Amino acid sequence: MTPTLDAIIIGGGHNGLVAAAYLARAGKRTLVLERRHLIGGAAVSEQIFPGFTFSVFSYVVSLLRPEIIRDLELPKHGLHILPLESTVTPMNNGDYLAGWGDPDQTRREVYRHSPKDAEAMVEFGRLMHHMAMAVKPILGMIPPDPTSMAPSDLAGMLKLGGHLRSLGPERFHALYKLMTMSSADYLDEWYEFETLKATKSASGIIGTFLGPRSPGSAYVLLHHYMGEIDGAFRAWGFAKGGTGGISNSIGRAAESLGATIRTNAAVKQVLVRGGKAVGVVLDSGEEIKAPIVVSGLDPRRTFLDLVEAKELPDDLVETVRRFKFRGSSGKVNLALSELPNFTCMPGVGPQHRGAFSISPDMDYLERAYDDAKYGEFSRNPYLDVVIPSMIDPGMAPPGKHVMSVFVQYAPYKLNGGWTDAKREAFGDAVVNTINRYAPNFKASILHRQVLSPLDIEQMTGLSEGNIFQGELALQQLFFFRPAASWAKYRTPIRGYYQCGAGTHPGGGIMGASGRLAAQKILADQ
Amino acid sequence: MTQVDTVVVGAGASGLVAAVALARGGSRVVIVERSPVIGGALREIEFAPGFRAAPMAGDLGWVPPEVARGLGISLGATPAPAVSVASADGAGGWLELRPDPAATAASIRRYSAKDADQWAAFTARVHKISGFLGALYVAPPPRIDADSLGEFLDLLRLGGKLKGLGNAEMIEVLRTIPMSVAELLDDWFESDVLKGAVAADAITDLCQGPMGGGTAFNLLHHHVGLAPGAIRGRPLPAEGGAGLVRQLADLARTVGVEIRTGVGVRRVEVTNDRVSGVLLESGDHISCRDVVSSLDPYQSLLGLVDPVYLDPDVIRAVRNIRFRGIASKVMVGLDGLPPLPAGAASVGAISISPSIRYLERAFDATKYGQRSEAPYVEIRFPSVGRPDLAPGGKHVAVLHVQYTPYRLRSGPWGPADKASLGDLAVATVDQALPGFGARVLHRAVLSPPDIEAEFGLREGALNQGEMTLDQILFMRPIAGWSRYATPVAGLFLCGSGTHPGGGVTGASGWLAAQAVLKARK
Repeated sequence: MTPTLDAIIIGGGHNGLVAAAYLARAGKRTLVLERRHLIGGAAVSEQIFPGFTFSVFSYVVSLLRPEIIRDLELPKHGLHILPLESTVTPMNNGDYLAGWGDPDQTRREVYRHSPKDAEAMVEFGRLMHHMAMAVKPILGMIPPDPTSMAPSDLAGMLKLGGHLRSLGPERFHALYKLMTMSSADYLDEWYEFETLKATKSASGIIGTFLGPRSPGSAYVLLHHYMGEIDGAFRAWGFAKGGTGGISNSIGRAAESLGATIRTNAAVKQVLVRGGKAVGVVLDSGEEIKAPIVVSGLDPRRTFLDLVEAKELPDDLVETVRRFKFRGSSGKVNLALSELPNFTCMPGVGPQHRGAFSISPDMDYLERAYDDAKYGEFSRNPYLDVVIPSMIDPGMAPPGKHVMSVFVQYAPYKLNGGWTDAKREAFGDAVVNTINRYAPNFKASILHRQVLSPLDIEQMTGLSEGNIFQGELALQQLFFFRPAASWAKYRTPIRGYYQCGAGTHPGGGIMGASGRLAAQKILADQ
Repeated sequence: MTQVDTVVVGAGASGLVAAVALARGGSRVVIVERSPVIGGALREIEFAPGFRAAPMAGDLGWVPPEVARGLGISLGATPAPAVSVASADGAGGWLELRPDPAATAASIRRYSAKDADQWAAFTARVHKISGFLGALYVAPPPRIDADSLGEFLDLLRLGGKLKGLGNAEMIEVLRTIPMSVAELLDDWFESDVLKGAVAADAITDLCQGPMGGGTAFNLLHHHVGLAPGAIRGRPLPAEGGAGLVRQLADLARTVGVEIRTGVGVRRVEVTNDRVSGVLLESGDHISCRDVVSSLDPYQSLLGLVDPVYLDPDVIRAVRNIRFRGIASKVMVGLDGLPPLPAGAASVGAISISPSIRYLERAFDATKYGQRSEAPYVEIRFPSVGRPDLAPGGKHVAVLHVQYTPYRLRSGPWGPADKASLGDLAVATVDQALPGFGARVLHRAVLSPPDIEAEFGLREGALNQGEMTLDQILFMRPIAGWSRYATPVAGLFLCGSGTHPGGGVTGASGWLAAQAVLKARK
C-alpha cells in the first residue's frame, strides 16, 4: 500500500529529478517513476563493457543552471565537474587549430592562422557574452502567453518587453540577428579562417536538422554558449563518473529532501477523471494515485501517448503532431587499448584532455548535412570526440581508455530504415573518419557501441532520438515550446504538468525546465 | 548649376514614385538616371534584332492600392486576375495551379486526393497570413528599437485585427514565418509534385533551398496582395513593366519633375554634415536640400557618399548586407510557341520544379560555388500578351534560371559558363516542353554579373538585399536606419533595399517620400 502522494513524476531524467527535488523541498510527497533500471534518462553512465564506463548518450556538461546546483546543494550529493581543457580541430593541410582554456593562449593560436580573426575574437567574445547575458533572464522566465489578456500573462509580456528594452537597441538587434540568421552567415560577419568558422558553427548544428548555412542555426550556436561553470561562460566539462554522476547527484538530493524514486516502473497511462489527473497506471497494471502528475517525457509522449486525445483540444493535438523532432545525431562509444596518436599533434598531451573536433571547413559540414537531407547518414560526418578516461581515470581499466564520439548527421528517417547492417556501416564511417586523423586508432578498438537515432529513441524514449526533446527552432522556442498557450508547463488536463526539455528553455542538461515546472506547480497550489 | 529641392537618383519604379510624391508635396524635383532609358529593373532590352524583353520584370509584384490611389495610377488600384502556373511533374504530366482553387484541386487530385481536399484551406490560410504582412507593408517598418516593443506588439495585434485574425491565427503567423517552406508544406500535403510547384515560389531570388529556415516567409511575402485562392500566378499586366513606367513618367512630367537620362551621379556632396548637392559624372553640379537614392544601400552609402561621414559600425553593417544574386535570365527568341500544356492561352508561367528534393539539390551546388546541374526554371512567354515584343508570328520566352551564384568558385563568369548555362536552360525546358529547343532562333544569357552591369543591381540580386528574416522590417536595410533616412542628414533611401523590399512595387518610394516630407516639417 503506497502512502498518500502529492505528486508523481513520470520519467527519472534530469529534469524529472530536478522537478521532484524542488517539489519535495516544498514539502510535497513526491514519487519519481523511471522505466529503466537506472535513473538519468539520456544523462546516464553505464558499464557497457566490463571495466569500461560510458556516458552513453549525453557526455559533456556546461548548461546546468547554477541556481539549481546551489539550491539542491549538488556538490554535497556528489556532483563534481572536471573541466574540459581544449578543443583541437585538425585541418586539411595537416596543421591544426586549437582552442585552449586560457583565452590568451587561444588568441595566439588563432593569430598563427589569421591575425584578423585573432583580433575579431576579442570583440566577438564580448558580444556573445552580452548575448548570453541577454538571454539568461529569459531562460529563467516562465513564458507568458502573448495572446492572453490574463493579468499574469500581460505582466509577463511587460517583463519580457522591459528586459528587451533594457538591452538597448544595439544588443537587441544583435540578438534578433542571432535568432534569425544561419551560423555560417553570422560567423562570416566576423571571421575569415575556415577551420575556425567551421568549428564554431558546429555548435550551431548540434541536435538540429539544419546545416550551418541554414537560417536558425545561429540561435543553437548561442544556446551552446550559455554554459557556465563557476560563472565562466563557454566552459564545458565532464561530470566525475560520467554524465550519470549528474543525474545521481540530483537523485540523491531529491531523496534527501524526501522524494522517493522507483526504477523499473514504466508508466503506461495517466489516469484522468473529469478532466483532472488523478494518478497513473504502470505497465504492470498497478495504479498509483496522486493529484499532481508531471511528465518529464517529450511532448509527443506527454500528449499523444500518456493521455487520450479526447482529453485534449484538437488544435493542441495537431500542434504536437507537427512538433519537429527529426533526430539528427548518433553516438559511438568505444573502449580503447591505447590513446589515438593524432597526426596533426603527435604524442600524448593536452589534446587528449579536451575535445577533438572533426570540422575542417564549412563545406565539410555542409556536405555532411547534404547526405542527411536526402535520407543517408553522413559519409564524412562531423564528430566531437572526447576521451573521458583521461580526465577521470576511473572510467576505464588502467592503461585503457573510453572514447565518446558524438556524430552528426544521422537522420532518424534513414532511407530504407535503420538495420543492424546500416548501424554497423554508420559505425564504420565514424571509425574510418577518426582513423584518417589518427592511424593507430582502428587497431586500438577493443569494443564499440554504435547508437543510431532509432537506438537512442528505443533506449531513452526520446522521440526520433532528438536529444533536445524537439528541435531548438525559432518556431519551437519560448512561448511556442511545445505549443502556444501550453508553454507554461501546464496542460489542458488539470493537475497534469510537463517538465521535460520539450518545454522552455529546452535541452542540454540545463535542468531549467524541471525547475520552472516545479515553480509553476507550487504556484498553482 | 541647377538649384532644386530634391535630387532623386535612379528612374526605376521606386525613384519615379518617390519623385511624384515629393513633387506633389511641393518640392522641385530632378531625377537623374545613369542609363539613357528610364525604367530601372523594369526596363525592356532588345536582345536580338526585333526581339525585346524585360527580363527582370517577370511580374510586377504587388502595387499596394494605397500607393496606386495616392499616385492616381490605374495599376494596382484593382487587382488583376491571377494567371495559371503549369508545373512539370517530371514524368511528362502537368500540375496546374489555377486562380480558382476548385480548378487547382481538380488538377491536384490526379496526384493526391488528400491534398486536393486540403487545397482550399491552404490557399485561404496563405491569403490570410500574407494579408497580415500586407498591412505591415503600407506603413514604415514598426519601430522596435528598444523603447517600443510594446508598440510593436500593439501593431501586430492591430494588423491582426485589421485582417480579422484571432489570437490563435496570430500565433500561427508567428509560428509560420521562421519555418522552411518544406516543413510548412509537409504539414499540409503529401504529393511531391504539388510541394515542388508551391515551394519554387518560396525560393525565387533567394540563396536558400526549400529546406532552409525562413523560406516560408518568402512564400507569404510573394502572396501579399494576390487574389484569394491563387498560389503563384501573379499576373503581368498587359502593358507589362513598360506600361507602369510610362504611366509613372507621364505623371512625373505632369507634376513638374524633370527627368535627366544618361547622367550618372559621381558623388553626393555634403556641407556642414548635411547634403548640399550632387556632382554628376558629366561634371555638372546640382545643389539641393535632399537626395533620395533608389540605388541599393551599398551603392548609396558606400559609393555615393564619402565614408568619412559614416560611423564604422554603419559601414560594417552595410558591408554585411547580403545580396547574393542567385538567378540568371535567359531570353529566347522563338520561331513560334511550342505545344503548351492544356489551357495554353491562360498559362502565365511554366515551372520546372517537380519536387522539393529537386529544388534542394539545385540549391546544394551554390554552397560549393557551382551552378545547379538540374536548375529550377520558370518560363514566361511575354509575347503572348504583347505581340509587339517580337516580329510577326514570332515569340519571346524569358527563362528564370536558379541557382546560378554570382561568384563561381571556378572563377569569374566567362562566355563558356554563359553558353553552357544557356544550353542547360534550353535543354531543361525542352525536356518538359518538347519542341521548345527546335524553335529557338536567338538566345541571350544574363548571368548575375551581367544583371549587375546591365541594371545596376548589386551582385545581380533583384531585391537590393535578400529577403531574409534578418534583413526585413526594422532590419532593412540596416538596424537602426530602417525609416528611409540615413546617417547623412538629407540623404534618403527609397529603393527595394528598404522596407518593404522587393516585390511590393512603389511602396518603398512612396514611404520614403513621406519620410522626406515629414523630415522637412
